[in-house]
Amino acid sequence: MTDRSTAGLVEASLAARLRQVLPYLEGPGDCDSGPRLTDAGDLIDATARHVCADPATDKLWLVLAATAGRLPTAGDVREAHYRAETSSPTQMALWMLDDSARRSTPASAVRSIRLVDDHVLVDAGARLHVGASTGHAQRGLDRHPLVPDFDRLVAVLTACWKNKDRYLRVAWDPTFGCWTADDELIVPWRTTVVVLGTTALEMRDPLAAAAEMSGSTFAALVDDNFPAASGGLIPDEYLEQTVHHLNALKHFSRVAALSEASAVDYRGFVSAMPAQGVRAPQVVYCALATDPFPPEPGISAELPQGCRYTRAQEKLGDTASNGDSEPPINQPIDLSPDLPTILCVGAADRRFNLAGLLCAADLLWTEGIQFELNLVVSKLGTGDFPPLNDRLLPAGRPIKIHLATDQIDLEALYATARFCISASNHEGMAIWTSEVLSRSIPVLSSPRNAWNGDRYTAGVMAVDIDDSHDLVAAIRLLLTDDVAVSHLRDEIASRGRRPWDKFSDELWSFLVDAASPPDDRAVAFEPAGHQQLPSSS
Amino acid sequence: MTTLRALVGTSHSSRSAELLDRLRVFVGAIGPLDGPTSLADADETCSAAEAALDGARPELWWLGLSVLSARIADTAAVEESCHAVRRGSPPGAVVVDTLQRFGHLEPESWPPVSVHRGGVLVDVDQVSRNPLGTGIQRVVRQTARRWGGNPETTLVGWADGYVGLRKLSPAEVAQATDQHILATDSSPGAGGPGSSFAPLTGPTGGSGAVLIPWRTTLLVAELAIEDERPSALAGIARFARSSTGLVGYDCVPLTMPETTGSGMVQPYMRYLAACAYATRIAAISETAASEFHGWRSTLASRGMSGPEVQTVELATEVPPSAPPPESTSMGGGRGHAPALPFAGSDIPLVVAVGSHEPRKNHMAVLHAAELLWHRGEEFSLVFIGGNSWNSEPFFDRLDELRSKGRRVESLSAAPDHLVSSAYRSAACSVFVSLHEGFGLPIVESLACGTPVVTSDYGAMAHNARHGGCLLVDPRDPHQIAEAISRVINHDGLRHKLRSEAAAIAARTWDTYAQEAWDFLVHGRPPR
Repeated sequence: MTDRSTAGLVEASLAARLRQVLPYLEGPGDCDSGPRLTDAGDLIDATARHVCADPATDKLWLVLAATAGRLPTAGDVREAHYRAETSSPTQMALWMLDDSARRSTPASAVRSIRLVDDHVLVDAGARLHVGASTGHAQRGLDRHPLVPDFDRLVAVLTACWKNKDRYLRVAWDPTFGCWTADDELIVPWRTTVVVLGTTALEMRDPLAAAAEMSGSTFAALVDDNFPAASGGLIPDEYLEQTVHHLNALKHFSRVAALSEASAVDYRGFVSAMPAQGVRAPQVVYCALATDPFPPEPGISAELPQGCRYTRAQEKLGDTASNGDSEPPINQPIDLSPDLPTILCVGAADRRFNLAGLLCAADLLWTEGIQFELNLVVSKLGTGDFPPLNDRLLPAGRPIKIHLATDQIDLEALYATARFCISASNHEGMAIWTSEVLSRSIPVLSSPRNAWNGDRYTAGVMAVDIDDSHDLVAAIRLLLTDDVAVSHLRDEIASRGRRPWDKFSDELWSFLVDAASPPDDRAVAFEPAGHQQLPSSS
Repeated sequence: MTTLRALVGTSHSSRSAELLDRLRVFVGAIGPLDGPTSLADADETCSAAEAALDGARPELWWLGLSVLSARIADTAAVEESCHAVRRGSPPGAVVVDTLQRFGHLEPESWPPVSVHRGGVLVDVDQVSRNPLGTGIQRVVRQTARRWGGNPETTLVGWADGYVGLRKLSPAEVAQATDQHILATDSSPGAGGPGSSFAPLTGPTGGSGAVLIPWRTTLLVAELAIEDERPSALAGIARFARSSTGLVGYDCVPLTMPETTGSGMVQPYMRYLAACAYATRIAAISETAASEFHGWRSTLASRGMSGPEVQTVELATEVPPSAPPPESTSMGGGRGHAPALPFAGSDIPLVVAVGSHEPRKNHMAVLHAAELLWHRGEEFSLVFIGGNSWNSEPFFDRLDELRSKGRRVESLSAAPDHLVSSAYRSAACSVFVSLHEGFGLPIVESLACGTPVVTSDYGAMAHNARHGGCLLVDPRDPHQIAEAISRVINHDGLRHKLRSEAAAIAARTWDTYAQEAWDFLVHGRPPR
């Protein structure tokens, strides 16, 4: 494409974008000038006249989204506000052109926009930027029918924030019933935007600006808030990302947390907001469903014997390896193991306290108790657990490490687990424990990780994970006492159900309809009944 | 498997003697376990050390590893060692294995190490190294010179690499406590009448030894975020069987990270992780306390109760500034001392004090000023403050306005007397920060009798409660502009605000230092 044709395309795209936003800038008495104007220069002049006459923040935000084809930051909007209030319309038009050239990219300059003022936007970006994960909320969100349920309730346009660029890319459009990837900037306008999970670090500024300045109502479903309480236990990059996500959340209207523990975290954070003159969002606890996650399309509830991992090799570059003792990573899962197996899903971060778990397991092996430990971790760095390579593996301890699990892997591991352990120091939700319980598998966990109401502690044995003697005794009990395990399984069977429909309905009512939040202590359950793993569609 | 006893008993090893000395320090610090131990005997010393470590108590492991390596032990090393002992490994072997693993058996040097028990250690590392006097450093110096007069107190800094504490040299103590100002300060305080602190007469010399705190009280009035300092502080707070008291300024990197520089978030979060193990935090204002209370409540989800948080409101007393050098004239005389722009003009002067970081909201001040200049109002605007993170947009806007002929200038590195002179010359000051733990420029301006336009929430509104201020929404340039216009154009209002400012009784540094001491050391909240 020649420079001239590129310039022509940029100009035409700018004109098209301005034509779309101009009607939203006009007051009731103004003539509808947008459609009549075709020339980009005329359109930018008309836009400048409007914003100089009425430099409302939301309108400036909208104009900046249109001029550059990307969402602005708060600093961009404040600069525009200054220019609109201290410049003539002609000066403002020139500044807008300069600013557009400064902020736009070659791609954004020729991008079209779609103003969304009659749909709820569901930002599912976090779902798309997380690969194989090991029990984080993203995986839960990825597979539970939240979005389809929203879709059932009202027409929803689902979009995601695309990394490293400031635009909303349509990810799932119910009109077409499929994920799409057309290069179109989705601009929410005086509507509701629901953000699922933690957005990418690159999106922090435009997301915060949109929540603060766009005039739309922002709401979020969150799983954890680790930075404040666990700054020393989580990786720096995750710390930075979540802190900046928190920064955007303070401009939201409503936040639903998936556990009471998480709600406590977020309430603590928002209670500090008056110090900066910000009206904090309302935070409620919306309990996760207790029914099993439905399987991903194409995954059968019936597991093939000897199934094994398919994506594992992609991550082996990060894996610990220490000469003679090669960790037994991603071995085929024996669906009829000789030994009772314990499953733990976590990561190498100190927060997950795998070192404490390995210590307790070693003590029990030393006692002569026979069992196999299956560790599912997203990544294992060299030297993460010196005892693992230096002592446990050379000693032949039956430890299996599973990286990059997918649902088939997890189902196989669930199927063989006598019980599961969550030895984590700090959990926002531990969705995987919810998943485990939905399969009638008992869980050993810290009581502070089970702050989800009595219904959620059914099947959970509480243990002080900081007390190695307590941890060892609890593991020993569940390995050697069938009655204790049966008792926990009975508890799970007798607890009430909380179906995904109920969860989605309550979530929608709060986040979108701004309905009164459900009483934290009175989460709706249905009578206990037989639960079946939904079959794959 | 090398054991401790074997290592110490290796007579040909150059390190065996030093290691034995350190073992004696460790055993001596924890006291005899089962009857008297002869520390002269290597075998008995090893036995006593191994007996102490056999119970896998993290605190004793922390002390043992810290003393033997002459550096505050890493938490992971403590936990790994305890796990190993619980698995049945002999403690003597675990010690050696851990020291080897963390590279502490072959150091380049073997600094002397001592254990400090009892008394009160006051960590003033930054101000002992750095002569700068920003807000926090001023608080630390005012406090340290009073706390330092208590006979229980030892002022300390950190050894290179933040491996451990160390006593300060006389010169460092002088720098940390502003003793050159002390000599000219005739105001009450600094150990004067009414203070329970004795005058700080002379620092004790540092020995060069790495100092490991144990069963003591550690006070930190600084924002301890450098390098390994937060992790070391966390280790002390968690394992040293000591009381740890911190001065809490704000939680801005957590609650408003968009206004902090790149790279600030992670160190600050490590600092907060250390705060979680502290005993007490004296927040400098109710606003700061509200942030720390909010943060503390999140600790419940980790099963931690966190430190006790109390408001110990900062002093509002403004210490006398050093007089200007005789050779310096306001018009710009000899040397490079900056002069106050627009001095001697009849046009009203407005001053804005503070660094040009985004949180200080100086772009909104310029926006408001231009709204007024644009409509023909006459006044001069002087910013006094240093460059900071992301201050480029501020200076670009400043240049643009100057090129339009607007009366606006910026001063940096201004001495205290010039800042004081600016306040006294101004019709009003403007301090419309988006978030402050306290807002020292407000009390400084009021102490000079100068009205303040400030933000209508948080610590800034609190400091304005006794009058002398106009409150505005700092995110609304029109409100800022109208408030400035009212003060500079309405003599009656300006005089009323000046009268209110003059009537405000200052809260002294003596009072602050005493209340902070009482709370942080003795757990007595302010009355």
